[in-house]
Amino acid sequence: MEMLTNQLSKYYSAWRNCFLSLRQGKIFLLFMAYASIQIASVFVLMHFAFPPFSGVLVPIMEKYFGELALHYPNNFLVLPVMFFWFNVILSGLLGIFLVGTATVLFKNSFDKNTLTVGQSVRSTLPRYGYLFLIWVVETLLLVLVFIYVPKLLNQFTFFAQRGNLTKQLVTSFAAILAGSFFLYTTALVMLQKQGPIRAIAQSLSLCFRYPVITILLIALPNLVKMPMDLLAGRPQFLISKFTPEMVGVAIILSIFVSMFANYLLVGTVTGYFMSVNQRT
Amino acid sequence: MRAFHKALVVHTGVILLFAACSGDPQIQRRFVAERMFFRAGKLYQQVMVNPRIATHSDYSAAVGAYEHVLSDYPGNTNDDHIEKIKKQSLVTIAELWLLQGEIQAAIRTYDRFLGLYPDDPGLGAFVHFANARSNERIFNLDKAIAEYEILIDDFGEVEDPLQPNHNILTLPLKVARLKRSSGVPSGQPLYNEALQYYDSVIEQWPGSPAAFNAAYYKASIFADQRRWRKVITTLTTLAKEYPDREEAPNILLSLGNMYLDGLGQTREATRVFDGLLRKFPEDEISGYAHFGNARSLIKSGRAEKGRAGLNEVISSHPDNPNLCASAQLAVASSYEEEGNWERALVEYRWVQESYPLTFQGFYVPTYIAEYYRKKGEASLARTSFQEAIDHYTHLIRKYPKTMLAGTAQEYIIYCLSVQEKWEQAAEAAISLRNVHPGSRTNISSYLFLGQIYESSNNVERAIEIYEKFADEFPNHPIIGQILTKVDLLRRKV
Repeated sequence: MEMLTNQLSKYYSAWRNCFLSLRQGKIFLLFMAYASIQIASVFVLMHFAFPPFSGVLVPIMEKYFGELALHYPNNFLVLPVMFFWFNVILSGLLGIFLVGTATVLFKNSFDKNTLTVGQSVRSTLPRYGYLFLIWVVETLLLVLVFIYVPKLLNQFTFFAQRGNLTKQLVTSFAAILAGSFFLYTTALVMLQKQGPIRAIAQSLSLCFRYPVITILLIALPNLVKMPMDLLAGRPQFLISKFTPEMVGVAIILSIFVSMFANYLLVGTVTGYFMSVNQRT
Repeated sequence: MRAFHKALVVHTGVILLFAACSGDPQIQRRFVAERMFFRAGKLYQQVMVNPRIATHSDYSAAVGAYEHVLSDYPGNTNDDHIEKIKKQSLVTIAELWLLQGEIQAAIRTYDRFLGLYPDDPGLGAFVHFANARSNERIFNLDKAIAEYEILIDDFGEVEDPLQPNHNILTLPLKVARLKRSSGVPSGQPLYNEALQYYDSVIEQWPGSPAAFNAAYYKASIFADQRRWRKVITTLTTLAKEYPDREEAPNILLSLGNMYLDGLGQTREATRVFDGLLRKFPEDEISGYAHFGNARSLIKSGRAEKGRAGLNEVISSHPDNPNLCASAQLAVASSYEEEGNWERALVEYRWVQESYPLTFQGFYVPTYIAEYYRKKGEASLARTSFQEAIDHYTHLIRKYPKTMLAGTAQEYIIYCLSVQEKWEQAAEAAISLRNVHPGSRTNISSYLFLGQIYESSNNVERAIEIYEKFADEFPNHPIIGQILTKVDLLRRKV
């Protein structure tokens, strides 16, 4: 009981420090820059039929979603899926780099050290390969969760009789659980210079050692963004009740919410990891 | 400086990449057209939530949005998708005009469609049909007939005799009837083309549903020509050749009615009605067979028994107001024919109170007032006409802006005109357009007003009204008579 109280106290400190770091705008600016790339990509996907994007996007959409997806408003029906895959690629190319850089910046902010963005970028670059390998493993696991959990749920009468929302919620919680296994990997790679395999192993170990806090760390930011993600994932509803463009608006709003949620996630995980590491 | 060169090379590369990937402009054009069409569709849906309460601006916005699609893509775009959107836009614009009662505008839109796509295999038949119907509604019968004839020529061939297109199959009969209405000289063999068409269908597909329908329409032609024996022969053949068709009870009912009303042979009629009831005791048409039997009894002088039969029909078919109203009216008429007006009046009032929305319920209040007027009972006639007007006014308030309200207003105009209350009648005729806006009431309004001014010796106003009518409906079938009337009135002035 005393241990849990102690952990909760550290968890609280991590949140407080994370909020205090907002005063240094540079970390948040990094997340804003990433969000602006995502928003720009939504605009590009919404204007797939117009030059200069049509030359690239039209053949891709036709190949993966069929000729029907090239018609208005069908393109908005596939927009969330297209953005999902674009986001997966972007996170593999840039997202992990951003999280690595932010982790270094958060650490220095919590330690009251001054470090420029350029310096933290330079310290992240050599670790990019490790981060990428961990990302591949984590993404594969998440893709498996998103594909197989709904299929599994359909085999239960309880879920089969209910609407998609129940299945989506359960799948999201399964994804949060899967993500919690990798929660500390970036901190381990960036702050303790661990290799990918060792980082995954140690992250798992930390996850099992502090299950409640780990789940809290990952679940809270994800719960904040879940309603917006669920809304953005229902294009049929948005098109019939409002306008097709509302699908794009919903995705952009979910990007904004995710920007805050990710900032808090990386900040609190780094803060908590540092406090646990000091103890160990 | 090296960094600048690097940036320049990257920048140029990106521009070249985008330039190379400029894509197919046709996809962009189509996408924009689809977006405009979709947005217009949203405005159309707003109107269709309740077309009766949609405002003029709602309609204008929807029509404007579809017109915008058409104006942005003039001429042939060489893109099937865009052309499909344009065709659908034109059809929807016409539909929106029709919903507003602007039939002339709808016709102009259909004509635009046929001008742009004269041989469209997809919507062509629909547009010709809708155009013909619209012209028919404003009594532009020559144009309606021409459109129907195009349909018969281009789409008249029976392609599936097992599931024939009834809309097409009925057209030759419809055209013949329209020609009769449009004043084609009676000597001309009006129905010959229709009979030839139906004979060819029967010959080509003997024993098929198409042949059955063709024979049935032939019977309708003989009925129009009052050739009752031919009707009976055709219907009897149909009943024998197609005993299991779902229309068989209807055929027998028509046969019975033909004996009763056409030839006045009550015994034969009863035989057919009884046969129908034996063969199809559970069919919903059985009520009409009982009704026919009761009428047959009255016609053969057994009025009491006949009325008992009619009352039985009323009590056993409470869910069929049209049948009940007919039966109740037959009871009332039978008393009137026996000279028992007091009892007949009670029964007529019962029709009005119990079935106010049926044709009979509408007709009865005026009929009662007319009865008193013809008998010279001025005071009773005046009271009855006022009661009738109150009844119709109540219906107009209860069912505003409907066809029913328009008909009620026409009855009011009639009641006022008959009493020579010209000013009130003229006011009622003018307000007819507001009671149920549309071309039909527009025409009625003009004609009622013209007659009212003419009858009240306000000849100049009558001429003015008739000239306005001629300007607005230059193709109306009675336009010749109207212009002759204007000439006569001018001479009178």
